[in-house]
Amino acid sequence: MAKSREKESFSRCLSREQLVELDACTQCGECIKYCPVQDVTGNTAVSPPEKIRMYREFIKSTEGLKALLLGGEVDPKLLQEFTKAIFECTTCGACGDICTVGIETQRLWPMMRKEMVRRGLGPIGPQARMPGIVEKTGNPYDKPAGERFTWLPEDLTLPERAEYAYYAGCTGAYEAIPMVRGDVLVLQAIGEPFTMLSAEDEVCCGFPLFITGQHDLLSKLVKKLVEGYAGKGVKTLLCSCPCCVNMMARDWPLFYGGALPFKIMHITQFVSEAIRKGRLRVKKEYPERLIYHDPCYLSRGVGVIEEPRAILKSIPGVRLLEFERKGLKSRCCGAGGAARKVFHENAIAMGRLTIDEAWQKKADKLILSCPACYSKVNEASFEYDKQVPIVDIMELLAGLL
Amino acid sequence: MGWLLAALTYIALAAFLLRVAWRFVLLIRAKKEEPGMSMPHKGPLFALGTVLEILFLARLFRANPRLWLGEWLFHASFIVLILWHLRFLIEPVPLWVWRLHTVGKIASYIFLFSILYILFIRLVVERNKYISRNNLFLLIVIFLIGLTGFTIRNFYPADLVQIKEFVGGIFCLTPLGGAPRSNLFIIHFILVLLFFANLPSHIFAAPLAITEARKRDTELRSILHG
Repeated sequence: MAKSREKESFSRCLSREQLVELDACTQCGECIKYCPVQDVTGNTAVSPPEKIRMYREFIKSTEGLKALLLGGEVDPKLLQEFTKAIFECTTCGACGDICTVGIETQRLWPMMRKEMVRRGLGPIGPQARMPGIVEKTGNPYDKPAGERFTWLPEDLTLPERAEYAYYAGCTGAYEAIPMVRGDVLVLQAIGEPFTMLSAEDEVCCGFPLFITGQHDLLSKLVKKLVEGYAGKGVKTLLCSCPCCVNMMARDWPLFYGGALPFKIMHITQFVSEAIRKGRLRVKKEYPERLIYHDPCYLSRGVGVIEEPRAILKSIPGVRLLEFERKGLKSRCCGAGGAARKVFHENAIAMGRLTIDEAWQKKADKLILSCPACYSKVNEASFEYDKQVPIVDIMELLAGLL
Repeated sequence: MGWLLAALTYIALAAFLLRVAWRFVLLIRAKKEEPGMSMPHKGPLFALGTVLEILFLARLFRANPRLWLGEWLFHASFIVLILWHLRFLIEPVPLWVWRLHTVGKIASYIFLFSILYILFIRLVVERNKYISRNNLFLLIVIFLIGLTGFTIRNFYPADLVQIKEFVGGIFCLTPLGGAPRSNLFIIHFILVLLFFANLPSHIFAAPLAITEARKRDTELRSILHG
């Protein structure tokens, strides 16, 4: 009986704080104005307040007082609708930023996904194959580990041990190569020795599994990575992928089982510090109008907002433009939450909204600092009538050194 | 009629208390969130800021100042009216409740207008006309509570002594058999019970969520900048 109730329970994957958040939602609907999925689908039935309403219904019909006394059943149609809505979400967290009672949706949606996975209802489409692929290849793209670092500069020499290490991440290494190559070239130019794990040892950080609610492999992946870097005497781990950085800073300690033996830094933090200290200087004039897009997991996720701008402003001749929604309020480019591979059309439409604004503002280049954004916005740009060249921030900087 | 209203009141109260108690059990049973990082302790100024943020619905102000005006006036006037109603429940009536007389009268106008204003903003002005069915239902119930109360007070006065005896009887667990001879009052009273039975959970949970959110806001930069 207790076991079956446990299975029935919809609150099992949520923390106490998240259950309070569910109750706290006033259904005011302010978040709908900031939801990128709403921007491109217009379907309020799958909006953030409706997702919360549906989830409350599930809890009520399985764990509510009435259900406890008289029994209850979840409406299967509602459950089906909810599953689609929760996996269609890009988990960008814009709804949480604007939330009038401060619900941390960027953390709440992944936990609801975890519950759907536990019930065998999610994930959907190719997301479901990810754990097997990650276990087999070490990355979610089913690419051989041997191809992971083919883009590394030939003259790069990596010490076995160093205070700094660089983690390229799967999306960068396989889908946004100019970006990770730019990272390494800039790090080389700064001159601080850094190490890397081997292509076989640098496995997925766990984010795609975490975000799709498939948590079984996470401890194994995280321990392998943490122990790998600790073994190399690393004190600071650098990474340019906001999703990886988020996973490392927020969730690695949980899956590792304690504090990490090194600190995590986003590459823009390290580079802007090097520029501030005079260890890196761009001398070339670059008279261009650049518009910078804040990745959701970099701004709302870990609060890195000023550093990318400081880097761009340090380039002589650059005129920095801003999106209407910037910093904590930035609009998702469509690449987030592992939804882009399943709800491809939504992602393309969202990416085009980003391109539209950059185009309207007459930007010469659209600057990104996330491999998922880089990959998806480039895809959205393909055969689109409004064209703005898309460049990663480190790719740009490396080209000017 | 008196017995029926008393029974309905006890049922609504019992259902409410059971609902709250059960919710509390569910929360106690849930696992506490494990923060991945240790965060600095917050001082008394932080607590003061949080209280002010809750009292002035600061997050709503940041999201939608137009709606905030209506919502804040609605919540503030609602609280004043609830306190003013204590004169029907407490004997002798405390001086501070008597002193709410003028404020209470003003609040009764603001209360009704603020609900109409909220509905106007949500359903007419906003580009995105979202309103949940539950919120619409509650707003209509609350508006009718306000309207019946306003009408009793200004146009069809009910016998205050009867009302006080009736309500006092219910709350002292010695209900009277009869009900006050005012149909408007009976409608008003039933609507209050209906509202009570459907009391939105955010009344209790939102202040807690706002407190957590405020902590997170101050900690966001410490995640990678600490």
